[in-house]
Amino acid sequence: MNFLNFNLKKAFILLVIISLPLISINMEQKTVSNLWFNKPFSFLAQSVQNIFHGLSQGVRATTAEYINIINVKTKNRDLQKENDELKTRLNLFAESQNELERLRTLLDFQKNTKMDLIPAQVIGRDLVTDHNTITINKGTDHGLKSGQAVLTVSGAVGYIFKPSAKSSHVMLITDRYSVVDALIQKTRAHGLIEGKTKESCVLQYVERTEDVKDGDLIVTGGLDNIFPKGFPLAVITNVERKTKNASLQIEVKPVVDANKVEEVFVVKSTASEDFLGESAQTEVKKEDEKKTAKNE
Amino acid sequence: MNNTRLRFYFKILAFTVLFFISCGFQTSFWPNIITFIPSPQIWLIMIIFMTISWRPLFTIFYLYFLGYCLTRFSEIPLKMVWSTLIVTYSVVWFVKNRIQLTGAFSFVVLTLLGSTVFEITYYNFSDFLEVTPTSFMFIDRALQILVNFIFSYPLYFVLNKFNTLLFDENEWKRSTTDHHHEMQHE
Repeated sequence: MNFLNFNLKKAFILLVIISLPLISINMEQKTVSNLWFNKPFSFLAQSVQNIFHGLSQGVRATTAEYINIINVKTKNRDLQKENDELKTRLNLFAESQNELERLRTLLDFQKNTKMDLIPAQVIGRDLVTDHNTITINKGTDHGLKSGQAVLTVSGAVGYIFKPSAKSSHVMLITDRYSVVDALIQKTRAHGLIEGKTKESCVLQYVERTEDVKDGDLIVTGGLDNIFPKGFPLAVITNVERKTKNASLQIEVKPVVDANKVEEVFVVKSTASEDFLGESAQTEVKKEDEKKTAKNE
Repeated sequence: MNNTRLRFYFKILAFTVLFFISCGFQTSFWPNIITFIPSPQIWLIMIIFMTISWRPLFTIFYLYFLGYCLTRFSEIPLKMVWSTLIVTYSVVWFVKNRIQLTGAFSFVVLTLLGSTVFEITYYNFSDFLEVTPTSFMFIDRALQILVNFIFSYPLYFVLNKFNTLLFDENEWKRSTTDHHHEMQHE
């Protein structure tokens, strides 16, 4: 009876090794976002990310200054040291002015909008190529919660999905798990934007009869209760009309390149902000009236 | 608690801290400085290093712990990390025992293998385990494997030094053999 002579201890260990991934698969069925043991690890992760973010800012500043100095030296070898210093200062001044202008635009946007916005800095990107997320330096301590919209002045970026005390993970609209209600600005056709790759998304469920062209702007639809209605989302890059499909195959490119974003706004409350404006809404009403008249 | 055991615990703590630092480096430092090439996955290179130089049973459970830590830096689900890591570990460990190579060259080859297995397994398991499977993204994955391969060579010397400096694996084996002999005498 050789087959019964197995090492029970080894068999047990092997069983534990195999069963752990299976348990983890089962765990995914339940919501386990706020378990107590996650907190210290999240805290450690966000601390490490904050340190590295600070370090990278320092390195960037030093490198930029160093590159500037080298450029000035090669161009103006005959100029004196004082002149070099002045030019470098001038460059730094220009850099500061650029930053000032950027921050002023952000401030203007924050002042002029009805929305309650929280400014945040991007401190990290996702660890694996399969997911498109960013980490921001604001968390539940600053009033952030899951499902809040994240945007920049130029367009929507994504939404909060894993907030911890002092930082939050933002799911970008390019992530394959992300789904955002969208509207083609010109035709008012509704659809859903789903993430595809790092730089592109697909617009689903738009009827084949719709007049959609490359370059058309897609704005947020507002039905998902995340984004305010009418905020720029993406631009159409490719439209395929397959005869078998009831809907169009539309490839889109987000208006905001999330890989280059440094500052974002989290929408705490939209306060019924509608970026479509009254004129656009009147046009929509007119279109609707025309359609009903035709049907009648 | 004897000195050997204390040093062993310290080594585990040091490697965990190093693991967190490498994840922070990849997510918050590299993308802010170099945007045109992906950051090397130092955490994966560390895992491959542990696979080939640490004792199997302990390493597997430690990898599960590190896998959990990874979920704090990414949207990656726990089921995906654990299943992908165990397959990567098994393949690298199996190949390591069947090739007559040691040193930096063997590590570089095994990192190339490990990174490739990780990417392939992730793609296939995602199709099977996730509601929204990942895309193939051939260029992104190939570039990531290449970067890991290049960076594994210098990292081998760093990790090897760190590993032997904190606690030599032979010492571990020797201490357990002594313990085993003592038990037999008793």
